[in-house]
Amino acid sequence: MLFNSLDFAIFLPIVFCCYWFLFNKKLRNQNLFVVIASYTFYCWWDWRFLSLIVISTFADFFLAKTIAKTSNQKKRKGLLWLSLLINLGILGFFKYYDFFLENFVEAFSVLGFEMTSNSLNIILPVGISFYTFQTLSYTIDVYRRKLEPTRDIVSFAAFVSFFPQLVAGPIERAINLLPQFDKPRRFDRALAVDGMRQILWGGFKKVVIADNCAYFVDVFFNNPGEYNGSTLALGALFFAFQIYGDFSGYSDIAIGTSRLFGFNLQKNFAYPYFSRDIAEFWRRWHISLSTWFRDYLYIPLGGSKVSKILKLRNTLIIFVVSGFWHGANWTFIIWGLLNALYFLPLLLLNKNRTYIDVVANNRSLPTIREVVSISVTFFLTTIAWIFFRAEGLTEAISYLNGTFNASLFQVPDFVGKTKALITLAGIIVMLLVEWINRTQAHGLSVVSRVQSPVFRNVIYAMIVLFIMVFGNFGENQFIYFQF
Amino acid sequence: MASIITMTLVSVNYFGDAAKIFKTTFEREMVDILRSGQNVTNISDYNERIFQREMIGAMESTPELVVLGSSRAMFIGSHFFEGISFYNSAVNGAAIEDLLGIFEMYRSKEGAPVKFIIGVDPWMFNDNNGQTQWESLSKEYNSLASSIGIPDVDEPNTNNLRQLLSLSYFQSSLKNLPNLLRGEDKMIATDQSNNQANTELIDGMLVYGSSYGDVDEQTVLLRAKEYIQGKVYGLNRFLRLSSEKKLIFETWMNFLKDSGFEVSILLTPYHPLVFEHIRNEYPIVLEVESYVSQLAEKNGFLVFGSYNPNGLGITGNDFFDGMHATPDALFRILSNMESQLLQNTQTHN
Repeated sequence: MLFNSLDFAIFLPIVFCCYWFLFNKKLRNQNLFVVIASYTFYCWWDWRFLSLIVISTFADFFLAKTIAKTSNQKKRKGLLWLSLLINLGILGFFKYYDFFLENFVEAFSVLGFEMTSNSLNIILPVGISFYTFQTLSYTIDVYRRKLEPTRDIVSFAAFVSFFPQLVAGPIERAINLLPQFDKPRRFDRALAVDGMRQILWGGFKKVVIADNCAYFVDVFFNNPGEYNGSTLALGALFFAFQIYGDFSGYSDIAIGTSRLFGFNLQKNFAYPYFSRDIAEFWRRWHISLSTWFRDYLYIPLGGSKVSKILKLRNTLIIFVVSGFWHGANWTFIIWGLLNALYFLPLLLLNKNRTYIDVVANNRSLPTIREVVSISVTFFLTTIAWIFFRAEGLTEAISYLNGTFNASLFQVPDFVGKTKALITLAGIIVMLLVEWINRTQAHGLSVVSRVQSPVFRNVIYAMIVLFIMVFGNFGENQFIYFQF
Repeated sequence: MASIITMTLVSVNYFGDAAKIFKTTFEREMVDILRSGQNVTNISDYNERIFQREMIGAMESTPELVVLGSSRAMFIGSHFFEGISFYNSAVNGAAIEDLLGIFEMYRSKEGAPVKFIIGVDPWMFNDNNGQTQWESLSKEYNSLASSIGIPDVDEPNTNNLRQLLSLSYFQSSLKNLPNLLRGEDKMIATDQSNNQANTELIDGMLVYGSSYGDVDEQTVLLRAKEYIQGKVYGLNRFLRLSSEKKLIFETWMNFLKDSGFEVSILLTPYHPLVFEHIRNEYPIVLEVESYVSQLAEKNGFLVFGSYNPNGLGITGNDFFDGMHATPDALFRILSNMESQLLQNTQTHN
């Protein structure tokens, strides 16, 4: 069920009430209830693939226990590889089988060998890229002796399937989330209220920003030949905000929902479009994935403690793999490569950690230089997003060609300009709100400091009204569900 | 605050009631006006299926010639056919199930019509056409389905409570509220056929309100461009002719033929700009036309028109928008039909 659906609006209060009033006496029962609720949530999408989550859960639970009990290093490594094989095998089959088969056949046909292939048209189980990485973090951390394996299959199952973040992240580390299932939870009103604020803000970003941008993105990307350069540029801009509103909105709803149940998930987005260079962007965008790759791929490859050439190689690998994680299409790989090309010069010049603090820290406005840096970084990421969104490489290049020509300086020519202006206004409002909250956890954090409860409620009511009047309720799925 | 927001949502949905789902007497009131001999105007967003049920149910004698189809067939009027009683029972966004359901309403009346003009639209053979309005006619559809030997359908849950909490319904109902507050949401009985708002005539023909209907070619062209911007109505994910819909249609056609009904198939053209787009992006539509034409020929039914406006002498001037041809255009397409119908009528007499 989508977060912005009536089904979820009914599901959540029922689960909340049962969790805090019926199952709060015993921790194990409460965790078991989380498992049942989470499995129910997942089955609403597609019950057929629940078995994969169960396989992943049981496999890693028992493998981690065995790894911890074993002192033989060879055996420990073998068991870890088994966990990797099971999880990445499931992921690889469902996500990449058809891609590799089709490319394999095409490669052979280029060499003059005709082959027939029976691609399986495999359905991608929702959330598979997220929960497999989540369980892998557990077995890897146990192997590295950073974490003791849990003896409680119920709390482990709850950790793997926790419904707020099951289908689109954040990808939680066992070190962070699993201990929270082992401790009794007390209802924290302040945490829950702030969670509701975060849900509200996430909902605004999803249905007002992302879903309204989606309308124009679909139109312009599906028929780029019919529009002039300035229109296509607008389409790229809308996609940049569609994917941000969609994904960060989902993360906000996931994190906010978790807080209603007494859990703290990690931050997944830290206002990435205020980044002053690409290195800062990648410290602020999809943080749970980039840190996962850093800790479980980049560092094992040697990380930064190797020669410059190897450092460059490791960085390139991370970006390409990250692109490939997003989908079985060359466009995602090119997107990853482009970001690598943006990043590598900074790495070579040792300027990849120039901007560690928040932009305009202790100031209300950015400097001109900061505005320029932010704009350039946004421009570069938007160019890369064109590859991310396009159906294929040809379409991406065609879109770029259609954008960057003399017609870029014409007036945009498309039907629906009023709706586009309203959407742009919504984007500006969002950026202003997030600018004010750029040092905070989420876009409505500052509201907690408003003393007057009446004024706070007025703010909430205005946002709700904005969502009700301007939201797009055409049931657009979250983009990251396809990963 | 949650209760205030919920109350606002429920109130706007109930009182604004964009699709008149809570005002259950709306269609009955329309029928009363039409049966009194007047046209009715200032009507929109009501349940056209329920209206047809009320209207056909109230008919003391059924017309000889009936039009079935979607909004693309709604502009056919009795003045197209002199000397024969007529009613237009087209409904917006018609699916195949609508055609069968409304046909069954007539069939179950004494002295059912003998002649039908059936407007067939390409989306009727698309499994992914997204049409659900026909579910209001499930009862009638199932009645015919059992008679002609096709699978019946589950009757839908008619509980409208979900709409009270629907945010998309809220947005539509909010747009309706100003009219409600000004008292301008009431239907009006009139002797005129051309009015500011849409008008339903006593013969079932629809006349667009002047603000939509009386526009220049540039505006029509803009509407046609908007029509093809994004997904074309009913054609989303239309990759193959649905075998299920084909079975229903063929079985019904055979039934019509075996039962002695006279059927003419109408293929309403698209605006030239739209057709060019459809030809490239949805070539399956051409397959639909070919399939329907061949089936009609096999059953001895006449076919009028085409989805392609070019062979019919229809230009951009002959449209209101991307998919709705004007009454004049439809009259030209059907011009041969009148004489044939009259000939058949005289023969029967």
